[in-house]
Amino acid sequence: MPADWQPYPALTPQRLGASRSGASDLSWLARSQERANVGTWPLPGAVARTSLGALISLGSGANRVTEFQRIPLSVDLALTAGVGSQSGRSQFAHVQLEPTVSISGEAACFARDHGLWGSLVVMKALVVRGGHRVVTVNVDLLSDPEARGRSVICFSLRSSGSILDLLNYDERLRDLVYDEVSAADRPYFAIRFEFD
Amino acid sequence: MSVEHALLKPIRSELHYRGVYGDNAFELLGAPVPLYRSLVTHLGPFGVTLQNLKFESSGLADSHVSCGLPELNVGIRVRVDRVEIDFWRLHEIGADSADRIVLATWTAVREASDSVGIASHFVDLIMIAEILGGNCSALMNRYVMPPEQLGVVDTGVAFYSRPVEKDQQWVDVVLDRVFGQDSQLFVKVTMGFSAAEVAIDALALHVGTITNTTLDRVGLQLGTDGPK
Repeated sequence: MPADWQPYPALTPQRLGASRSGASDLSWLARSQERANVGTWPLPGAVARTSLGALISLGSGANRVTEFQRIPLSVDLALTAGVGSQSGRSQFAHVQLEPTVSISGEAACFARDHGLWGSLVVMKALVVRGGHRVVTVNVDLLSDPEARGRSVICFSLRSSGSILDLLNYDERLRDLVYDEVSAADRPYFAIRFEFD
Repeated sequence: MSVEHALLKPIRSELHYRGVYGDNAFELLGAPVPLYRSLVTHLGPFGVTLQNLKFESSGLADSHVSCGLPELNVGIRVRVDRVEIDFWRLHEIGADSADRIVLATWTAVREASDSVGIASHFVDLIMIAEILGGNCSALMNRYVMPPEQLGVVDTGVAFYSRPVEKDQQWVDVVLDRVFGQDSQLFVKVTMGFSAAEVAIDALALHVGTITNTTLDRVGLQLGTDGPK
């Protein structure tokens, strides 16, 4: 390791901008954070490789961001726990290989009001973990005409796989749901597939 | 249901579970890797990943592996002497999911160390319920009449059972007002029982039975609305 190596570059007035005039002026902090987020902070190579997060996909109901963005790892971890949006859908961004799950406000509200939220989260985990060819998952509240218009939480899985792949996946998923979701809750969930 | 029973519709509820070991399980936290592995395996269906696991220790008694399920508002702590599971929004996730989380946690703990034996279970069930066709003041007057000298006051009541033998099951019930909401009632049911009496896979049924039986004895009945 070079003798002058520093984990982070020293903060100097020149680096932070000329407006840093005193201890009460914190505007330099925001600017330095912006620099860090866009990846222009002059970190040593080894640190840059480990401290910047993986590519993640950010989804949004109204304004879906389709490109992959490079953001700090700490933000990456926070986003995987769930991000709200103005459209009322809960957003869950996952690492690149997992599908983006979008839960409508109506479905979330119905699940919470009727004690089905635990099973919904389990269903989401099963779908995300098992669906290698599933691109996106939309969870909505639908009315089931076969059950006298009863409300059903429907997982719509959009997939890029073949029909044979999907049939196999559907069979596996049904077995998992049978094992992991209680019999009382299962009638309130439905799964349907959409093709790319 | 007799005519004197008041029907309660739970609005929100939380449950705190404590499962105490027969003996301290130092090996669980001394070499926690098997515990991490089994927690991820068995709680994976509930969304647990490595990010949700944390080892925390400020002293031996406080040492624990914590496992947070933020989407479900559930916190799990595996300590040297007990397992703690907090369901902060039980009304949202449902009793079935809560039961499955308890079972999965115990399965993970026992898989990590088969020497762990459960001695006793403790459960706090707290809920705020709507009193259907009644109000809290009238309900409380069944149990206690405040002295006239106090004027108009709100009251609460607590019933504590008296276990006379070691490991005997006990149940406490606290009924209280909800400030500013006379149509609502605060209910807290606390219970403890020996693990020898109840198998883990019958825990939820036992807790439900004790709760309903105890509330029935004090003239209350829980009603349900919707799928659950």
